Amino acid sequence: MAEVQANSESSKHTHPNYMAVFIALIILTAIEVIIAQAGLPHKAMVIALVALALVKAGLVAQYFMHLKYDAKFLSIIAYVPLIVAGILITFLSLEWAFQPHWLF
Amino acid sequence: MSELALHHDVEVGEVLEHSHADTSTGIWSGKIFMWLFLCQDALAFFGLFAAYLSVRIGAGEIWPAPGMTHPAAGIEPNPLNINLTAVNTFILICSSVTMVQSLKSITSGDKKNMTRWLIATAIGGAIFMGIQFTEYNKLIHHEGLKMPHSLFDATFFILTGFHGMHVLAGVVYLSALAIAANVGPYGKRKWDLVILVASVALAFGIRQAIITFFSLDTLLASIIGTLYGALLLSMFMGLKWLMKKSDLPRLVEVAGLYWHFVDLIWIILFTLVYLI
Repeated sequence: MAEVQANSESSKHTHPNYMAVFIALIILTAIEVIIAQAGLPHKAMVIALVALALVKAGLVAQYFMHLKYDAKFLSIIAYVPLIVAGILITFLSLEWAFQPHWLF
Repeated sequence: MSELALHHDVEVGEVLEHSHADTSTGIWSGKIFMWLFLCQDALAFFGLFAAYLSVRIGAGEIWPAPGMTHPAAGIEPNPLNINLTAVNTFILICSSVTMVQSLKSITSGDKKNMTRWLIATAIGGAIFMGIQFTEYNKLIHHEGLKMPHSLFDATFFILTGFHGMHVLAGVVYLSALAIAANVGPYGKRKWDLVILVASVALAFGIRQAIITFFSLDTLLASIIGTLYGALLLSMFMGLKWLMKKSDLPRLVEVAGLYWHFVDLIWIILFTLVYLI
């Protein structure tokens, strides 16, 4: 039934301060927009923006999606394929980066 | 941000139930299923990101630089509006907050507020879609962007379009959950009929919108429209069925996982497509 159950055998799962996470996300987004339009050297800008995006994505996954508080099993499900995909993307991008610009 | 600041709300006393003796992991199987679904969905997005980054890096200086809406002569302009999309990002982040408030409400047994926050989240998603629709309209009809024109156009529409379809699915999912939670698993049959009619209307509306504004093939538009109509109906019936077997907080938590995932993907997409 659609009702709230209180299961005594369950592990406790508390809510983090969502407003603090929200404010952090908004501030980081504002910093991203400023950096993107500040006219920094391109490589520095890309590194800074990708780092900020990863921090923001991490905040969402850890706090909003509760990975920080859930069983480690879920973190393994979530992160292992992404690490593999990250490696794949890196090598694919590098491979193409050294190709002649035949596409354009 | 300090650990203390992040936990300062913990005393509210809500306790989310996760462990269940009926699974070997102690985690509800529905939640594991959602995480597995999100992983394969993330891999689909990562495949698209890989394709995008390949052509982006391969293009080097030829790729239109972000923010250069009116560059000097000889430089390719980039028509993407960073500030408008930043507002859209803000709205999506806000909708993630309303989603967690919904979960917080139901874990304290407050179904009324849970419904309000769920509806607020769905409205946030709808506003996001509205802004993206406005952006598409401007880009297609005023800036002349079209998928076959260039890799810039193609990658932009594929990445943002694939994400937009997820947002629309999320709005449908959350709306179905809000209605199903209030109708209940043994609610009156008239609600099934109402949702059936709404599903047909949704399918037809999406089909017409795609044909009118994006000039897509009629068959393709019909397939997409039908998929969303079927999604609404199956979500509603499925959630009603699930409520017989599971409690509402778990269903809201799993719906929240999907919605936060959509937010998370947008955070990465916003950086890759609009900012760098």
